[in-house]
Amino acid sequence: MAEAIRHDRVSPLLAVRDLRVDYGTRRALHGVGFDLARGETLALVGESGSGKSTLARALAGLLPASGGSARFDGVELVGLRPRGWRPLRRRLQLVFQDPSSSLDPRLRVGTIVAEPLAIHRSVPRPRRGAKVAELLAQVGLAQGLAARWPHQLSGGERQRVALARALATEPELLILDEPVSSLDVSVQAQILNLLASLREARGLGYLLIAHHLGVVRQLADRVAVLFAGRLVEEAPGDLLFATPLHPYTRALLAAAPRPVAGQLPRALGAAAGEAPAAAEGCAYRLRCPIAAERCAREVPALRELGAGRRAACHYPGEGP
Amino acid sequence: MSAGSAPAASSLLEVQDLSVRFPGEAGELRAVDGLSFRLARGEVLGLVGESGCGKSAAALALVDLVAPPGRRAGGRILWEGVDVAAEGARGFRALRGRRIAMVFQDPMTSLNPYLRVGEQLAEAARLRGAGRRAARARAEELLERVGIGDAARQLRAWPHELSGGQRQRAMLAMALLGEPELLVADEPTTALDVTTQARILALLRELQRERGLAVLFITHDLAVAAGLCDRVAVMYAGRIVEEASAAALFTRPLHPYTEALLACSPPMDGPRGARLRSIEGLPPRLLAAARACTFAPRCPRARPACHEGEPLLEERGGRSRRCIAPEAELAEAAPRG
Repeated sequence: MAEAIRHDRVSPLLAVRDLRVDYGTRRALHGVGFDLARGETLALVGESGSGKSTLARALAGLLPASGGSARFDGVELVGLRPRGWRPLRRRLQLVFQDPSSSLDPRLRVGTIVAEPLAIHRSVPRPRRGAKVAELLAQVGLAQGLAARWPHQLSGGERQRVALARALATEPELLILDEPVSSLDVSVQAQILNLLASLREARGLGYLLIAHHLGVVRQLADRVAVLFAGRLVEEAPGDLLFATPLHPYTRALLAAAPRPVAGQLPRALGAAAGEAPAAAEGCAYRLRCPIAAERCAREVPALRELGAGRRAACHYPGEGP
Repeated sequence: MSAGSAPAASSLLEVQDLSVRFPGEAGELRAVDGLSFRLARGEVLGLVGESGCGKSAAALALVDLVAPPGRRAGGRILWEGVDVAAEGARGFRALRGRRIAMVFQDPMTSLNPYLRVGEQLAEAARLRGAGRRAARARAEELLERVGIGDAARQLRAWPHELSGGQRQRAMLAMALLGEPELLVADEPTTALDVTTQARILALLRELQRERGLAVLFITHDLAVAAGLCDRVAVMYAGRIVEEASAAALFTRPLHPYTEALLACSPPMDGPRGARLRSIEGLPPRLLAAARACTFAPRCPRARPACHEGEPLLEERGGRSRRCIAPEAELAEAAPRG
């Protein structure tokens, strides 16, 4: 038993291998793999249509995977039946972008936060009120808010309620799908700070989906870059932002606006929508500024490049 | 073009004391309250602020498109020195779509879904008096110009067949058909991927340089405004609280709100802090004239006098701000980006 626990600490909380998702005949995820350790934050970045939300939904059991494997603390999620999901639901929670559509408008805040406690019978009824109060306090909300309706709250307050609800079951992993993108920058900063302190206090792991690279940099230990349903680069956050290796990562970073007067963001290669993902060879090659003849012939494998980095490119680190 | 010192004579557009109000249960909300600014020919002015600050309402009021029951509640809108607001709807009709063009965040709501892209563009061109064939040629030329490849094919496409970036480019092409002198662009790149956003911003910059197009660029994204705009006006609770050249504003903000907004944004480069600065509380929704600084309740630099009267928007050294805290107190912003 002691050995099993020790093993648990080193094995990843989430181990994804060759995960595939299809929408009808269209493949949305072409075999993606990564590990997420306990207490770690892995960010998924990429443009719309890159498959990052599809991946999040597949991992949360909201979409069926068509192949591959995703193990949560050793339990295989792919093909898992609803009965098998039940004990996992409380350990793995999903928080959406727009809290106004994910909170039931007919329920008061206190009821919304207490609901998972009732569903999972994790806290006996007499103690639920105290637990709700504790959860609200942890996300920085006043106790009086429990009696309010969702529409009476600001966007930031609603996102805090969504977090309190997600935390009610004492999860180990939160899948955060664009948790701050509908918020103003001043409120966004509050929520990012809250996410950072909750992680520290509870040893939470985050799978963070965000298109804003500043947000990613602020929160992520590691970053995985998706293009057209493929993982094209993965690296520790600091390395990825300092020296991106895949031309697509470089393009994303160059295009991100900086608050410097006169410095326009740059589009390297073709922008989103200007060229499709290639069906043969490297999927990125039709947009890539350094695509060569080899890129049309040979699909680049996701290779280990040292220092915990991987990239799927024949010419990593080259080009603009 | 460079700093905020355009002489009145060269102003293309001058807005004086503009107000927009929306009736609500508790009273009339002052969405825009006494807004004044100037825009020179060929200048790009950014109007930035968080949601509810009045930036979009101001843009709509400029072209007389505030939806009832909202209304423009006063102010002068001078186009080349002539007050179009005083002339009523007729004054605006003569400008809108011709000398002033508009693009909005979601092009799907501005394109007619039942007409092919080419028909809509050609219609816009024919409104300017072009013949059928000339209109089509002009539409094709502009689509190429805004970076839609294979323009002849795209002209036959339906709006839903285009990607978000292509639709926004089509809207921009349509806006440019009339060879406007001013483009009012409300969050035109917010819904787009960053690579597409970069293209559209570069295109706007090119049009401004080549054709002397003036742009009023409305955005919540300070970094986007920094890259594109010559001058930036920061709005809070319906008013401008600071206005300066982009170079001055982003190196040395002189209003605590601008300062705080910059510190809130997680940086892309440079050192990364464990915690971001945030602004506690929420902006006020003004139902009556402000009697004190509207930012004071959230301001870390507020002093008793800030709660006693509203500071004026005062100009000094080619920039202006609505704040009484000594300039020296506002720290030199750390170079970022």
